[in-house]
Amino acid sequence: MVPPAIEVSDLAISYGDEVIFSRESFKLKGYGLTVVIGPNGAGKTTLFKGLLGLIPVRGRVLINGIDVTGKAEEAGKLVGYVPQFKAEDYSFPINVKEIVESAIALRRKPPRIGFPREVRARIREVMKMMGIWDIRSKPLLELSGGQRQRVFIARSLVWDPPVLIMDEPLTAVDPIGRADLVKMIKELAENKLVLVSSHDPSFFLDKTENLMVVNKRIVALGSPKEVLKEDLLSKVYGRSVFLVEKCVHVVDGYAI
Amino acid sequence: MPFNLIMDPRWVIVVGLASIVYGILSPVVVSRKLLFLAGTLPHSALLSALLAIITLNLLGCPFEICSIAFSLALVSLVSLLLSKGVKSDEATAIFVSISVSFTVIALYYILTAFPMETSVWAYIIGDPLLVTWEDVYFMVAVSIIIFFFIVPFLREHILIGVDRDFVKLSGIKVSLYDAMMVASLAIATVGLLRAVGFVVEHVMVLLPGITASSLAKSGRNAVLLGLLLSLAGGMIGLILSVATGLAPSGVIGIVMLVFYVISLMRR
Repeated sequence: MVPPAIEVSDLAISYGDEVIFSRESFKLKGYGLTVVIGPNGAGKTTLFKGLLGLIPVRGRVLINGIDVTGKAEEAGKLVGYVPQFKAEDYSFPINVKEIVESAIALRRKPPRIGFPREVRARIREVMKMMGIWDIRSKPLLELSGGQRQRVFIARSLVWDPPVLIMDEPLTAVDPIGRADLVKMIKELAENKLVLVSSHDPSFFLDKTENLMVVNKRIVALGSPKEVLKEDLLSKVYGRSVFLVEKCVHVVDGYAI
Repeated sequence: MPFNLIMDPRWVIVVGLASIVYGILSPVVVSRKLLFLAGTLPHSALLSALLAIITLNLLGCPFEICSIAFSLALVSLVSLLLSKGVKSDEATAIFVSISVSFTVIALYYILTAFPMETSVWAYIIGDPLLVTWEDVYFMVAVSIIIFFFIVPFLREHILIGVDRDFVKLSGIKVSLYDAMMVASLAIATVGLLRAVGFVVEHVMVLLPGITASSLAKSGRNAVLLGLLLSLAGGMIGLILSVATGLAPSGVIGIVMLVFYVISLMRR
C-alpha cells in the first residue's frame, strides 16, 4: 500500500480583500502526526478547508497524487474530516448513530435507505472501538465534549480513509476525555497521515512527526525540535510564549 | 353557534394534503435553518397569487402555472440576494418590504379593476371549505412534486442542515439540493395558499418542525413527529372549525400553537 501524501504548491487563499495564505508550498508524506498550531484567527481552519476544497483556492493540492484542488467531492474520497464542533449546527436533534451512519449512507447511490449487513457490522465495529455504541441513541447535544469528538472521529473512520484532518479536536473536552482522545489520535497516526490543529502542541509532542506553525502564512514546518524555538514562536505568539526550564509552552488563552 | 360535522371529502383532502406537505417540509426547514426564508415565503406566495390573478384576467395565462412561475421567480430573488453576500436578516427585510409593497399595489389593482370576477380573501385568510375539485387536483399535483423533491432525499436535506461541509465531502451536490428545497418551498407555499391562507401559512411551515425538533431525540423521529403533529393539527383544526363555524385555517393555527405550548411545558 502506497503511503499517504499531501502535496501543496503555490496555495493561495483569500477572503474578499484579505489574503490569508499566499503561494504556500509544502509536502507531508507517510504515516504520522502533523500538528498545526497558531494563534486564534491564524488560519488553521482556513488552511484545512482549503486543502479539502471547501473554499476557493488558487494553486494546487494533491492528495495521494490526485489533484483535489477546489474539489471537495474528490478530497472527501481520501480524507476523513473532523470539524470544529459548533453547538448551533446541531440544534436539530440528530443522534449518534445517525451521524456515524451518514458517512456510509451519503456515499451510496440514492435512495440511501438501509444498509447491507456487512456495512451495519462495520458501523457497529467502529462505534464500539470508539466507545460510543452504548450512547448511540443519544442526541449529539446531550453528549460531553469528549464523547462528541469520538462521534466525529468514528464518522470519519467508518470508511477507513488514508488521511485524517482534525480541526481542534481537544477544544471543550474535559481533562480525562482529552487524555483519551490524545491517546486515540496518536494510535490513529500509526497507520494514517493525520493533521491535527491544536492550541497546545505539548499534548501530542512525543508522537509528533511534523509541527506546522501558521499565522496567515506557514511560518515553519519541521520536526518539533526544529520548530519549538522561543524566538520563532515569539514572532507568532508575542508575549504568550514563555520558557519553563528546557520546555517550550504556548499559553495563548485557548490552550486550557 | 352552529354545530355540524358533515364533511365534504374535498375539505379533508386539501387539509390533509396541506398538513402532510408542511409536515414534511417543516422539519427540513428547521434542520436547514431556513426559518428566515420560510417566514418570507407566504409573502411571496400571496404576491404570486395576486400577480397570477392579474395575468389571468389580462392575458388569459393559467392561474396555476403563472402563480408557480411568479413564486419561483420571487424566491430566486431572495436566493440571489443571499448569494451576493447579503445577510439573511437583511435579505428577509428587503424581500418582505418589496413583496408587501407590491402586494398592496396588486391587491388594490385587482379590487378596482376586476371587482366582480375575483375573490382574494381565500388567499389571505385561507378557506379549505370553498375549494373546487379543480383546486383539489392542483393541490394533489403540487403535493406530488413536493414528495418527489423531498421525501426520497430527506436524509440528505437534514444532513446538509447539520454539517454542510461533511455532506460536500461525501460527494453530494449540495447546491442541487438547495435548489430543490427552495423550489419545493416556493411551489408548496403558493400551491397550498388557497387552502391554508397567507396568515396561517407562516404557522404551518414553521411550527410542526420547531415543535418536533424540541421533542424528538433523533432526526428520524423529528421528521416523523413533524408529520404527525402537522396532520393531527390540520385534522383536529378542520373538525373543530366545522363543528364551531370558525375559520378553519385560524383554528388549525391555534391547534398547532397548542401543540407547541405543550412541547414547551415538556422541556
